[in-house]
Amino acid sequence: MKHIFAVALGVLTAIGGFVDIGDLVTNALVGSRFGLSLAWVVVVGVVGICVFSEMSGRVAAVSGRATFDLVRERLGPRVGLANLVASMAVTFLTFIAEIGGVALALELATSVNEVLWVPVVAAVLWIVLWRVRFKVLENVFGLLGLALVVFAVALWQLNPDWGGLWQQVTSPMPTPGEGWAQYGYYAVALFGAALTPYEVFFFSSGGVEERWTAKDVGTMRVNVFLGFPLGGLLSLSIAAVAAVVFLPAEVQVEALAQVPLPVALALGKLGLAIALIGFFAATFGAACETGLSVGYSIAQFYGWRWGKFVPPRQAARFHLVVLLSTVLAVPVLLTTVDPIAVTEYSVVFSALALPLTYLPILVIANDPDYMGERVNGRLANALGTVYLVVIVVVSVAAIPLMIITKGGQ
Amino acid sequence: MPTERPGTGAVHRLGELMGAVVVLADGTRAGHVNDVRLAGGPGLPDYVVDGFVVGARGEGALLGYDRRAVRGPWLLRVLVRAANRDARYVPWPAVRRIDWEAKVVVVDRLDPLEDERPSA
Amino acid sequence: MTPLRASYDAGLHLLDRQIVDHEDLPVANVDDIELLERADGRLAVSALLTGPGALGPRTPGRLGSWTVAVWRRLRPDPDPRPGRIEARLVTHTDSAVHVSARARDLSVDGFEQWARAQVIEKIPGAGRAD
Repeated sequence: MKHIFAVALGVLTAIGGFVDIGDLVTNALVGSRFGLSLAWVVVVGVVGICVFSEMSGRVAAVSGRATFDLVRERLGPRVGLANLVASMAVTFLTFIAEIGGVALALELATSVNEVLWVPVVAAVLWIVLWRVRFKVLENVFGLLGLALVVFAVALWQLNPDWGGLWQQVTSPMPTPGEGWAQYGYYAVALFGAALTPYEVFFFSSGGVEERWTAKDVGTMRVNVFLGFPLGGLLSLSIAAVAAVVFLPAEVQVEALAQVPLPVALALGKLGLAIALIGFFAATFGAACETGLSVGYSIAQFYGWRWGKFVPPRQAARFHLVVLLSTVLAVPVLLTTVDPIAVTEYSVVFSALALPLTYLPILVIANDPDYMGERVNGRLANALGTVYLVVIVVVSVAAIPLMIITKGGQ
Repeated sequence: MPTERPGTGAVHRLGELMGAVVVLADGTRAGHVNDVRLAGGPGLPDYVVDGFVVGARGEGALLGYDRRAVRGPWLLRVLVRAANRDARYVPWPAVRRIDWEAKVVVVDRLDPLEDERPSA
Repeated sequence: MTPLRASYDAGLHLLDRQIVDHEDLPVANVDDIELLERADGRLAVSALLTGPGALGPRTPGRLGSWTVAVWRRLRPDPDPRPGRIEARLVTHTDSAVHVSARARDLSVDGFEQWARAQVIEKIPGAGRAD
């Protein structure tokens, strides 16, 4: 009974923790401009993150090593360092976007300007990372993130034209007023939002933090294969309500304030409040994850001791990196740069950096030195190879599409 | 310092050998050191350089993918095998001398590359 | 079953690997390997080398030479040695290289000690694990 409870908790935490600022913004934006015609990208992205999370989780459980630990071993000091720099740049950018997202959520709740919230959020965030236990962090923000279910409820309440929505899903082409370049650009953005590199760094490092062993692979798989797709449904709900409310009115979502409006329409102030709680949980939780991921990756690359499972004085360099990242994120946001813009860039650059993360995982998951008998089976390899090709195509297309569409216009 | 006489007690780094140019005794270039094979035992201090894996280009052609690996996605195996098709091996007795300063290894011959097995 | 492999391809199996202590906690990476010329002319493995002094020379180009230069500047001795772990301390290898000593006895982490003393120790709660 206790085991079932633990598994259920894991699944719920996975669902609630799936969405971050990138998913929030990109899905709402896409819903308002393209309806559900890009829904297939979310599905493809979710399957992809399931495939690679399972692989990196299995690697962590069986070998006791986290992803970035192994990137340098496979790629060597030169290519590995290039990988580290690129991955860190994208993760740090995402970190900044998440902190901005928390500040925006607080602005929506309090009408106090987002820029004023930034230093407060950063300080609280760092104290939480310093003091709060890893498991508590995961569970609290994961469960609170379930508040985003309110989007699915709102969709139901809005009583939309379900046939029309399905029509959009099954017509993968630009809506009137949008071109194929824009369609492609936002396909790349959605894909990048679903497969952000930090997710596998964090997932595998978290597995090592929680001392997974081969016996935990089964539970890990349940969390991934049940939790992530349901989390993906939350993303789709956000896009769907935007499609129902904003698309017919030809209103483009450009600010976080617009994202919960359909919920307010359907469910009033209570719905809005729940949505804001969900925003806060999703962005603050993701800010914790990306902040730790910057530390995990650098520490693992250089072989330093890392993690919250040892006293900070035994992992001083790791904690120094986390502290520095938090401190350095603040001035960037104090320039009053729009966190939404930062988010949009972060998802596209994530798409660009994807091959760097996922190729080593695929290689390592096949190495009997690390995995013993639990190397990839044929299904995992088939899916992994297909996705690797997709990832390379997306990565190559990212910058040209960004230039052609001038950042999605 | 070139090591023509045995046992100078000099200390070197293995990293200096990686990517070193491999040259035959008559001066023709034979490739670069892609890896250094160590064998011996029982303890690690008893392991010695057993030979060099030599490829056409510098290191990194492997992507860290074990040459002997028989498992893995077909696409990757094909790519790795293609990248490694010209890999050869120089056993220690065939090493004439090592010029550490110039990062050059002078050898008598190159053998085909087999599974890991000490040569001497 | 011997704890060490019959043979190692250094680049594949040893270089850039994580070194862990007897509690399986990370110590450092194998940034390079020290070879000693024996009396019979063979090159024997004498130590594992870690830190910027070992990794710098393996990083090509200007970044590599810059790393080494900065590292030399920060060391008090005129001819500093990189972090060094005696080869005899290695007990076995799997996905990592296991050594028999405790991390604190190996003193390979100048940066860690600096970070601990100058920053981390000054923050309350530095001694508590999760």
